[in-house]
Amino acid sequence: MDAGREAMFRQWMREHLTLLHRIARGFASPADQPDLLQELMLAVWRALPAFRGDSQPVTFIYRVAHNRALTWQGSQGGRARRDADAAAEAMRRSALSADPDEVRMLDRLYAAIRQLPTLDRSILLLSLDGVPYRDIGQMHDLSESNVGVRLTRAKARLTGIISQIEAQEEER
Amino acid sequence: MSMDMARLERAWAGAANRAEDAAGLYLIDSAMAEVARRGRDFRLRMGLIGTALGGWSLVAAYGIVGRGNVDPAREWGSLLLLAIAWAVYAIVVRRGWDGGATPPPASLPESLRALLSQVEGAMGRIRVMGVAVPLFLMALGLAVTQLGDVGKMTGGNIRDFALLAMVGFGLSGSIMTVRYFRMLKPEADRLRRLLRQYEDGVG
Repeated sequence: MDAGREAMFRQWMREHLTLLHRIARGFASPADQPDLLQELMLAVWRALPAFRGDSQPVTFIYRVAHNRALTWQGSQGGRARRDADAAAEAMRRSALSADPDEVRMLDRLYAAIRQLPTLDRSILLLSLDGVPYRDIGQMHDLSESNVGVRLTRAKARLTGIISQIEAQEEER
Repeated sequence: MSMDMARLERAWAGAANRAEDAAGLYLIDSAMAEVARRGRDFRLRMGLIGTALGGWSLVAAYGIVGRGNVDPAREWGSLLLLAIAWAVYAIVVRRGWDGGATPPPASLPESLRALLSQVEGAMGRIRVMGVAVPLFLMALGLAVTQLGDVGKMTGGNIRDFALLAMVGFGLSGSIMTVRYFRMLKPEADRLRRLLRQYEDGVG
């Protein structure tokens, strides 16, 4: 294995794993999130030698990860499933130390994001991470104004879905 | 709505939405272990294929140089086949398990369109096979019947051949049908739906 590539991958992952974690939660059901997270990491590993430094690593990672998430077909099962169990455990441990109210709010937020159309999901995740409209537009081949219109619509829909989820939780 | 979004954005930026350092390191190690495992599996598969190809090459070389029962001038077709197999093998080994560096697409819809085009290409090839195979089978049946008529094949030979052809073509036809309807068509539909989302509500 190329030591330089591995060192760079480890550094990128230390700095940007959170964004992959968020994409996995936004695109996959809780049971499939570890699988998708691992696929996102492997997609970055594969793409890494193609990085020429003409953009920020974070932009490169967003592009690779959102592309993989959009084309991901769901859990592969078998070996991938078993390998992902360790990652699932690590993800659960991540949430243990956090404020329970905040964790519940995030669970609702991600559940709502997953109900949005795939493209809106991707745009919203990028926007929540603070990626500028211009970069989102370039990534999705959309104008900035179009990104704005879609985001407004997606946010309205998102808050509506979350209200429904909260109402359902109160009924229980 | 803005109030709710502000609350959501605060939760988004909160500690619970960040991968914990210890868990992160664990995940990175898992990913590296997966990279190493895929590399090992790839080397093992390539080793086995390389050994089989090497054996075939040795047999061919022994036939030409040692026993002299292979005439390269008249049987160059099988040598060409061997050369093609080695060339493909070299390309696959060179690309490695991860297919070489995979740069991210210029834009995501462009990547989706390229993927859809690949899937549609694979579906088109299966449709062509669906037409070509029955025609080929009819021609094959005709040829075998004629060989039987002129006494070059016995009834037993024809039955054995027909059975082998039925099993072989039946099996590959079933695999192609399953691949077409269970994998390729749903994937093409999914990609088309995804691409339609780029057109919906533009303006």
